[in-house]
Amino acid sequence: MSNQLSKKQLWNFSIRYALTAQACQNYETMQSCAVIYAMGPYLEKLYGDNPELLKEKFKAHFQFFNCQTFFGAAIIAAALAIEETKSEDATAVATAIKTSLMGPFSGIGDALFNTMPKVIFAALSAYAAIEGSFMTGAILMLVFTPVMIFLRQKIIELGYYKGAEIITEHQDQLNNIREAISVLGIIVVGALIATTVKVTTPLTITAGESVQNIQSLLDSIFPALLPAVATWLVYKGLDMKGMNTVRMVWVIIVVVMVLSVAQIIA
Amino acid sequence: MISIVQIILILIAITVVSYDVLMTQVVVKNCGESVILGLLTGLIMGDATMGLLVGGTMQLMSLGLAGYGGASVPNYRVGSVIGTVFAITTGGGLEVALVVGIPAATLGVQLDVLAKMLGTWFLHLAEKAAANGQYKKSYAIIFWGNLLGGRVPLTNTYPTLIFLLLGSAFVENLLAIIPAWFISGLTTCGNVLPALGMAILLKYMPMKGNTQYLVLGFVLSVYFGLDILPIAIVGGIIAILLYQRLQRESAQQSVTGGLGDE
Repeated sequence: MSNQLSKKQLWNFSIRYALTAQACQNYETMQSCAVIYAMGPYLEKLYGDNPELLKEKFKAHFQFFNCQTFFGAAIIAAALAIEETKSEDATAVATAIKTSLMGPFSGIGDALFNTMPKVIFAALSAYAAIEGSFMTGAILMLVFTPVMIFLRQKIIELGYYKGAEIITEHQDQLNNIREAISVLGIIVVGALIATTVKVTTPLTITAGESVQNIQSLLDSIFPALLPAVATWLVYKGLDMKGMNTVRMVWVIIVVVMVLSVAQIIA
Repeated sequence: MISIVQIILILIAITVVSYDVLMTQVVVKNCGESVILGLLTGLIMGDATMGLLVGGTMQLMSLGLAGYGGASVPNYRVGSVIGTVFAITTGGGLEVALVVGIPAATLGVQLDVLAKMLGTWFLHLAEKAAANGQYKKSYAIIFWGNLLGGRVPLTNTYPTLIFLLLGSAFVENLLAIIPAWFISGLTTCGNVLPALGMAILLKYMPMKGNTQYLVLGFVLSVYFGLDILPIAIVGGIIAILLYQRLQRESAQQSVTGGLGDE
């Protein structure tokens, strides 16, 4: 493969993609505007001598693309490397790579760069913030910003220089990483259910003279039972026909309002 | 009261933070975008601790609510900023922040849908320019369309501006009409809503055959009383062990696969 961009030029590409990663996101082609913004100048350089072909290339790369943005940038870098071969079916191959890889890599990318930072780091930062401190947040920001930039660039370099082969060859390894990181995520979510979801009941049982507070009874046997039940109900509720995230927000608000007014939960 | 300078600073803060959340994605996600915005707004309004409290609370509510695959989700960034501002200006604290912030966040869903519709219009403009060979113009439409008419301004900057202009007098009047049971109900909602984020996360994770790990995390927290960080470290060790096992299994599979070919 004839890679034409130096690492420095690849930085430029990377920055162009980062600046517009989800620019003009729309229901028709999702993130294709970012693809054009990042790739366009290089396509112009490559196919500038053939204006008609260049227009075709732009048209092709304006088609649907949607991926977690770090891996999305890497896939587009790989597509660019293929366009650089100037082979006749370059665009067809580049398009095939884009469409076949965006799904699986979104899964890996979301697990690594969206779910993990949010569930672990942002949660840590939030707990500290509620206690009135930004120390945790500041440390996380100072440590992980360079890490994110470095990883993002490494992934893009991998996509560009090693082309599509490496992505397909290492599919196994990447799937294993995703599987393992998911387990970490599940463990943390288990802990988060116990700590972030707060449901208690003010109900009491009166047996003769003694008044037993149900919540203190629960606390001694199964402390976070109500949060666990609430999460399970929402989890099952999301499977209901016609249910989506937004409707669920409203369902929760209405149900909680009713239960709270009826003094069943607090 | 809130001054024009404060409004401008807040708008800059939410725009920059939202730009990083949606586009560059390298800085604020790791320390919690709502936490950062609560802090910045708190500093601008002169009460950083209140900002952190509101931001942290909003952050916990939004855990797990990432827009996977381009889905629209409530925007707790706006909730965090608006909540902090009115918590401070009305002197009502976290309760006011939740009453104003949660509805403001939920509005983000509708605005996000609107922004993506507008995105189609910019897409067609950019496509048309490129089809005419005007590539520079195409890039400009993408860049400026995004900056002025994309999801960052439409779902963050503009609604924040509108809420700020409505002002604390408006919010105070609103609070005066809202009955007490509604406010305490909404506070309870704020405590229960993280369940949705958790449920969505579980939907996106391979739960099949992995329920025991969920129970492990739950038990470590409830019965062992561990904080999130030590639990994450335990989880990390288990993940590494699992990865090594999976790698060995893949290696074996490719070896037996190779032998089978011969």
